[in-house]
Amino acid sequence: MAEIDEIAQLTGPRPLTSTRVGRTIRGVDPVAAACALIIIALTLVALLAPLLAPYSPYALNILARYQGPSAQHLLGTDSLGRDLLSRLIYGARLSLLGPLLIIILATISGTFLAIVSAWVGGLFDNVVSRILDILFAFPGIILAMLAVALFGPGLIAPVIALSIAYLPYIARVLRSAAIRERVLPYIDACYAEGLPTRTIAIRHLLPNIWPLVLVQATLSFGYALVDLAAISYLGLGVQPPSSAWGLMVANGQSSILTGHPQESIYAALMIVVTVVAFNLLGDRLAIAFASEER
Amino acid sequence: MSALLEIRDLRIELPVQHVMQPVIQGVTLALDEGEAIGLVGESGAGKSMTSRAVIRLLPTYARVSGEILFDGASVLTKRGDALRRYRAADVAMIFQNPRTHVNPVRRIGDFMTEALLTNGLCGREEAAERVVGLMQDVGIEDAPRRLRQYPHELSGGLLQRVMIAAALAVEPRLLLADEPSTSLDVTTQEEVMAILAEQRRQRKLTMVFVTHDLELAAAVCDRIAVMYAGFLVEDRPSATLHETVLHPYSAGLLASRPSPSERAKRLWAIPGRPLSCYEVMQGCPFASRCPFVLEKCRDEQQVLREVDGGRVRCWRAEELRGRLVEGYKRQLEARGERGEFEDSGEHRGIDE
Repeated sequence: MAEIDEIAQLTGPRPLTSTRVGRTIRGVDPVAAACALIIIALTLVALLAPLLAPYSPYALNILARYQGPSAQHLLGTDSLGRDLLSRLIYGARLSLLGPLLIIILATISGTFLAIVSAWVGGLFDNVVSRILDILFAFPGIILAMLAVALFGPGLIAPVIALSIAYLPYIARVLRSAAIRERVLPYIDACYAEGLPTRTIAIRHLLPNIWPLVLVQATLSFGYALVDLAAISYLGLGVQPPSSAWGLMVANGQSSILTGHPQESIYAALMIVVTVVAFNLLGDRLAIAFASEER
Repeated sequence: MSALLEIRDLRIELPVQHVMQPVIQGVTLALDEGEAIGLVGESGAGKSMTSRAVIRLLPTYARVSGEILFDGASVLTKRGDALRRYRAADVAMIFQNPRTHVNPVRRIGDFMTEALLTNGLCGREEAAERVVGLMQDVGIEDAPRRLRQYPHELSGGLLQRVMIAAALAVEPRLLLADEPSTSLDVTTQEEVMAILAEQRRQRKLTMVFVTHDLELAAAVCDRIAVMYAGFLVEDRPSATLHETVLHPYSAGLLASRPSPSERAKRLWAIPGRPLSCYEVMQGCPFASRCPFVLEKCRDEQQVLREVDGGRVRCWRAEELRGRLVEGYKRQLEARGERGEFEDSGEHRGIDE
């Protein structure tokens, strides 16, 4: 009977692909592993910002402006004498939260749209695909600026606008994968078992295109981060005195001419490192999944 | 007693090069509760299409006419929940290739219990218990470990047994077995077939068994229905198949089966190639390959009529009774000697 219980527990749905992802990162690819480590580290920094930051990011000290690196201020201070390290650490929060929200929204809605569209097919699929094509025509930045114009600057408006802008990229790739998967015999077999379409789509089709979802989400994260940084660089995103990397680049810009480029450089460097880490990881995952499929 | 499954004048059309063409025509078949019928024929004869029509797995663009009745209720008009309930509890299907018909990223245990759980046929514990019992029935040792494995960790034969057990788990009233042993290697084929036949006997299941192999079908089933080019050409109790075979095509299939007791110089084959249903213009679809062909056969096709406790679609059935297989061999031999079919490799026999 104990055995039966144990088996009974095995029959529920469970995330199967996490083990595959884990294997891919750990076993095969040092580059992917390094990228993943960077991403994990950045996430921890963002989460633990209050513990890690030596100063408050808002603490002004006009007497100590434009200081170079020292034991007190490891990365120096900005034009208002705020500790740059602390600002970078706190900046990680908004700089990562924005793209994360974008990717969550765009991936969920994109995947949903892709699967429904692939499943229903016909006119519905056509209409959805054409709408996606139209969305492709709008650069994310323009949409975001439009949203800011309508709803005012901040985090929410650009995030929603960019989610819409990223949706077609995710939906298009997944739609074709879903179409390919949908005609495979195991889907027929599910129908023969009398499973409802919803169950087949969620429990059978989705796990099989999950690797692609993951790759798309990872790659898009990098782009979304750049776009959001650009938005806040333009002053349309989060507003000072909040700190975000894009904002810091813009902030430090005026100081470059006076010989103090550190704020812009550090912030830009963080953006570059993060984006490169996400893109490389996405690429490596794509390669790993493709070779696994073969 | 009325039939459990009744197929009436089934016709299926599929697009062939963008034109709708029939792949099955006028298939009429009735199956009593507890009876097993073997659908036999070459590739493209429409046997799989027929069985897939019964569980409504035809492509959405297929055009289907005629009627399929299960327990008196029309199958072709079922929709939504009714269709799901029918597929879930009334019929089960075993597919040709277990490898492609099992979701590769889900465990065997999930696969086997999913239909039971999702369709609310029983609770989680009962499902697990039932599945373990069934796995033992189909000869899978170490069932609890197997349930935790993924499909790629199992051999083809084992996976097909899993499919059989999963199909039996829902206690269906009708089992559709679409060439369940064809994709397996020869030694496993026998085991799997033996298990399937045994389980069917024990459970007194009604079964439609689709196969290339006439002898195998005769061994497993009560009746044999032979299909050719989308037509049902003969329907006969399998116990007396050899003595009473009446259609030249079925006789050809029997004749081309090599016998282990007889040393043959060459393997027999029916000359020519199998036609597709839509290539049949008029007359008997088998006319172009039939050694007993008459003028009449080319002009008009006989209907499926009752002869000798079975049904057959041939003008000369009574006349040729009892001498078909021998006559067949003689005729083929004569042709062979005249060099009319030297390269026997291009003629396809029954076993591909």
